[in-house]
Amino acid sequence: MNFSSSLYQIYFYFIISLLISVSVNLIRNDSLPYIAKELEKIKNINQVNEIISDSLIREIDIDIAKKLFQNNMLFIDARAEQYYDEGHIPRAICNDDIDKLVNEIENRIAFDAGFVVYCSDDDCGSSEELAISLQEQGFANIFLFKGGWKQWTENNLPVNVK
Amino acid sequence: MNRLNEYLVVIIRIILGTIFLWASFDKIIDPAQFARSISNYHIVPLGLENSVAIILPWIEFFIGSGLILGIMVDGATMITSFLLVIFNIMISQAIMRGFNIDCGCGLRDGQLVGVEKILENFVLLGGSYILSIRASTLLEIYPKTKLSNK
Repeated sequence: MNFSSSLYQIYFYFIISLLISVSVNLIRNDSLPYIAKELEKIKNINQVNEIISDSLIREIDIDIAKKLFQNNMLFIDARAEQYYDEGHIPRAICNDDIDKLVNEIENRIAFDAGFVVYCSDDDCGSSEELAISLQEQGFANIFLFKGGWKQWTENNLPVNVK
Repeated sequence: MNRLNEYLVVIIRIILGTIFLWASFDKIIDPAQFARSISNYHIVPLGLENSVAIILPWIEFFIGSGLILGIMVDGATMITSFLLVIFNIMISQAIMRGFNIDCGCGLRDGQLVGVEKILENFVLLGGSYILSIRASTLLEIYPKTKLSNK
């Protein structure tokens, strides 16, 4: 093989990267599946009350979020505190410091009790990241409301605004 | 080519390589986090963000190492340019769609997508272009290419 050729050099870099990345992913404890799995979606409120054996993050829509809010479930605002201060879902809590947030949640509910995490809207991503961080901290029953603050306000649901 | 320009090429090569190598570390350590960052762009289909998160950091690692050590610099430079163009397309579409997301670039924690990041990438792209037209292979280990005939 003539490695003076740029094309062969590109092949080389891609092949060595592919081999090493696949090998490392095979042997590491936290290996990733090659295709990402979608989160389980809750379709009716009864699924919320099912006893779960594994730690789960499950996705909910606006209707389920509304029912959980009416049932006084804890809501966690994953946005930055400055946005939370401007307006949030009533009784929702927020803290930029993950350790303080974990303490706040611990003071309110048990580790296996459910709570909802939301951020700005379907595109923000921070709710999913926070849900995963909280799951890593030991919380086992997390509901992800992807529609977030945007969908909540569009549906004229209760809000606390500045 | 005078000596100053030769050293300039080496410095650009090492800076560009260090940036790519540095950017790869966090992604290699935590590919799940990187996969979530990719997913936030809403551009990679069919759940392939995981595959990208597994393979891409190692491409960055090897081309970064290659640039620093002077190994197969032409190939590394071409891949670098290609990646920087792709990164800028991804960031631009995220800005246009109003996403306020972490860029997942691996250089600074919490760096959001924005014009600043695009400009940064254009500067790196400039460096990459200089390497692609270089007329010196000073301190390059392998291969001693045909560049001296350029």
